[in-house]
Amino acid sequence: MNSSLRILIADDNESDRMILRSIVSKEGHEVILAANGEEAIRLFWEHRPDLILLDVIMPIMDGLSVAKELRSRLAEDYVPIVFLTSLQDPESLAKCLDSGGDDFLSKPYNRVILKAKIKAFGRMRLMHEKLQAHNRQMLIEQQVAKTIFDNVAHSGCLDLANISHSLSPLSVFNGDTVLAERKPDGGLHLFLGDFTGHGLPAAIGAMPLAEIFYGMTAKGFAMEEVLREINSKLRGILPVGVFCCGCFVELNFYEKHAKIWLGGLPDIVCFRAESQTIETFRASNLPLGVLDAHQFQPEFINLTMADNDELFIWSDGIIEARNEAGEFFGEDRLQAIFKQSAVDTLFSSILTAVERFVGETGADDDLTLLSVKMVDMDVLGLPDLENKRGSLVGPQDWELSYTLGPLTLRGFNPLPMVLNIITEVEGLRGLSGQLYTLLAELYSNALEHGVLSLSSALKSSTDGFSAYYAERERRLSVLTEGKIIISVSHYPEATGGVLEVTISDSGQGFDHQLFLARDVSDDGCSGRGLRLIDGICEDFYYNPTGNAVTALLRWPSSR
Amino acid sequence: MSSARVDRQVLTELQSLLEDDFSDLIAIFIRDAQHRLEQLRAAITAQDLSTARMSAHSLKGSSGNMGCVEFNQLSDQMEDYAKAGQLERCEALMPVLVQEAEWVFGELNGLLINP
Repeated sequence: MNSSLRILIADDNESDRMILRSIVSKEGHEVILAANGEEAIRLFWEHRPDLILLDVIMPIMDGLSVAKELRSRLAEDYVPIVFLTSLQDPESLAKCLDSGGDDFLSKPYNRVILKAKIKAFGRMRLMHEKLQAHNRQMLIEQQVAKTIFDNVAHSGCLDLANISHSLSPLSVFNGDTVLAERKPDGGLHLFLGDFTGHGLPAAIGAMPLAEIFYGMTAKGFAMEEVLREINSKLRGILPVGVFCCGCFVELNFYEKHAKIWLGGLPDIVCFRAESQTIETFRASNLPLGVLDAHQFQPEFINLTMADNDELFIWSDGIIEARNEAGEFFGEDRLQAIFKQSAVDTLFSSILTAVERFVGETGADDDLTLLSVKMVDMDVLGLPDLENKRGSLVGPQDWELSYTLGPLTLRGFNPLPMVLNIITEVEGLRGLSGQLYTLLAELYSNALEHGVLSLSSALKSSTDGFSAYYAERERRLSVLTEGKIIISVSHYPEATGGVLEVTISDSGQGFDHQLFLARDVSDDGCSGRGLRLIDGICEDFYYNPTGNAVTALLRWPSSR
Repeated sequence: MSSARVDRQVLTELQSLLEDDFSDLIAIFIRDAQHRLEQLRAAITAQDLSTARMSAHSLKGSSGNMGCVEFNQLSDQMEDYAKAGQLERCEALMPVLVQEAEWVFGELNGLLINP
């Protein structure tokens, strides 16, 4: 470490200056001399000294003004200023420190004390340089991490015509997250999350959240499954006291339906385009990452939305934005905007109002606003999920057979993994939602009616469903024999390919004729499944025993 | 008597610190002090006590560094009077200060001739 410093001495008294110069240069430091304040400033910028010894009372520009000017222009650099003074009264000394000084040295000069002070400030300056270097390094790392983060967290379809969003980060990273992704069936999943805290610690939780959100949505998982997965993931990785308030919206553009999960966020608003009125909805769930998987019982808001009805969702940063007087922006001010503003400028009106309210003081929390409009399916078109990989290579001719024994059947769901393998085929990715429903339908038949020998008749009594599922759980927990075999094959054709899925079980076979003949208008799960199977499969049949079922699917679909 | 008016130890230290430059320091101090004393006298005559205060302050600082104890104390007193707006006391103190200064200059010059 080189302890030699460049020191600027500014004193209007020539003999004092001479004595100081001698003391300082004897210690091996480089000296620059100024006879007044103006000269001190000029020489400072010319030589950029490490330390300034500054006389308080000088002609042309006094020491206090010099200190103020240098401090205001040296935002980041730390250059210690030591005032030279024969002033004694506490007020004058306090003034020196207020104007930007770090210390003072009283006249007559004491050589020992001056030496010690120069040494101490040299150390402090060195520490400051190290701190700054660390800081710069940290910022660079944050920028790189931010790029990765943005690729993961903001890779969805937030640029859709019916979505508006605004994120205003307090730092490079934002504790708020906004995600949107099309579902394979044309619907939309939308999520606004607000992690406790700000910056990097808050943003880190958003990474697995975004991965799960995009991954599962694209594979056709329903909102509740995605939510459950996010909740258990966050529960597992976040420390106690860190969680994610959020709003998850599933939009169905065909049925004009919104299914909303709201946990821990402020009330959301649905603006009805035709009546120009608003409806508000309150959170009824705990935030994500709080409850254990088995306690997590999501409650949903079901909402029918006409075209151009718009949902507005915000983090509490907007409600709790404070003005100079320390008042909150509040839900009342927010809702008043809906009464005063023109329909097509609602989103920007809210942002402008909050900015104006906060004024010079600046926001002290992340401000995030998200809105989504119900629109006609034609406005958005069908999702373009295949395009993400951008290539047509990948698995084309393959077969697999997956045999699940009793211990595996007790508590493992093989379907997402099987679906993952199937949707590696480019042409099938867009059908992942339907494929999942198909697999789920066939697998649960094999498990419940085949391996567990449960009769559907159980379901028809008054509390049939719960009795059925209780019995299902009971039989599963003690299962010691039986198996299910999932066989899948795919072969290419001139254009596209053909997929064959067979699920067979060790059961006695069940009355599949009854299953196949069941009324399609049945609104139970199986009914919907059958309709869907009918919709996407080219062929679908049981073996005569009724313990093996095969579905054949050709793409691109000619149906 | 002279040991109370001038701190010999301070001067010895300055001498060993500045070595060959010591004579320059004394010359500069005397020239500067004479200039300030002129400034001070003119300010008192013009009843400009804020300039008087600045000049006295400067004399106080440099004389203190030179180990001129009595000169330093008299300048300090002059500064206080000027600060308090006591013109008559400033006028009364002025000849005392000049007399002390002249004595100090003589002592310092003597130091150069007979170290």
